[in-house]
Amino acid sequence: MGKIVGGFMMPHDPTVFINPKKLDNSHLMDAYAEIRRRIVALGATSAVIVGADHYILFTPKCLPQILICLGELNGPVDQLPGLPGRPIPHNAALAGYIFDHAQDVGFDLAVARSLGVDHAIGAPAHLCLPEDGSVKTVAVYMASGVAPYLRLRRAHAFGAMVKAAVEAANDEERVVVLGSGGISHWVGTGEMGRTNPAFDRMVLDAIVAGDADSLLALTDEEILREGGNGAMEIRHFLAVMGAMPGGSGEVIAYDAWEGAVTGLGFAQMRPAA
Amino acid sequence: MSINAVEQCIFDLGNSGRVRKGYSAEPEAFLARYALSDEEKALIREMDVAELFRRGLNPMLLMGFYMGFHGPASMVDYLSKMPTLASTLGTGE
Repeated sequence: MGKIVGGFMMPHDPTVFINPKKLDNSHLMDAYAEIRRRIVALGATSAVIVGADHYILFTPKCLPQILICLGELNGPVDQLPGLPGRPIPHNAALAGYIFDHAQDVGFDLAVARSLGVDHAIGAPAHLCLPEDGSVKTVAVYMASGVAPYLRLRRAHAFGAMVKAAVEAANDEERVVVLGSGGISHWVGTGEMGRTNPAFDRMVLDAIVAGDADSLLALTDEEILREGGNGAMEIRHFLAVMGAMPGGSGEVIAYDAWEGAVTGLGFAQMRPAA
Repeated sequence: MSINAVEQCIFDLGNSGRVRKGYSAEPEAFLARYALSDEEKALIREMDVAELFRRGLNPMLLMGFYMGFHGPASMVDYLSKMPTLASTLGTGE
């Protein structure tokens, strides 16, 4: 039987890597490295990374609510400084198992047979997983960047489904679930560059308390108003929380860094004892 | 109105330099491939990102579209044109 051994949240804001203001970003890179260290310490074998397409991968012709990649991964296709496009070690067996389980329990997932991921998955895959490829990725995209948005409850339920799938697997997978996303940020709108630390703190407090209900109670309009269109990515955090019912969290780092456009939160979720 | 066709057109222009080159060479012929009204064609030709946003286009897409034509340094110019998200939520600019 497999096991969910931990969950992590981290941003993927491109301006952290482009760093146009040439500010010291070492504390942010250290936070990514700290997550990598913790994932290694947990003895993880695979990482389910949940991200959002930024209207780079999927077109108006086909916009999946939830997509899982069953095969090879590469990326990020939108290369950033320090994040070169390259193959990403993947776990096809686990992805296939999760997909089959999803089919059995009524989750109709879209699939990619192979996928060039964008920075949402490329950043954590490169920066949070060991460079030796010992922790293999399962890539999941949720409709968090392009409407119609995935329902918050569905994101949370997806995490629970992944937990059940991993625990029903016949192998000894030790899985971490990574929710890749900024907290407050406005992308491409007149507010871009603004963050809302109060909203960020509310989200991080919910993660620390393992309180998914307070996030699930938000309406999309409330998220858009207080956290911006980028904050719709809290769906990915809810997927992590759904995989760890009764768990609790810890903030590894937080900064509404002036060099970025996002409230940058790094956190860990621990499963219930 | 055909906002979804507008979104497809903007997506195509925003994600491919080759497509942008074809558009720049023959804009009317390019736009004629899409189910667009004359008014929508004008909004695209004029790169009226503010009005396109008000009509519901995804702002990430509009940002890529604008910067695809004007280069990365055009971000400030793009943002100066854009309404706030709050204005579309009825909470005021």
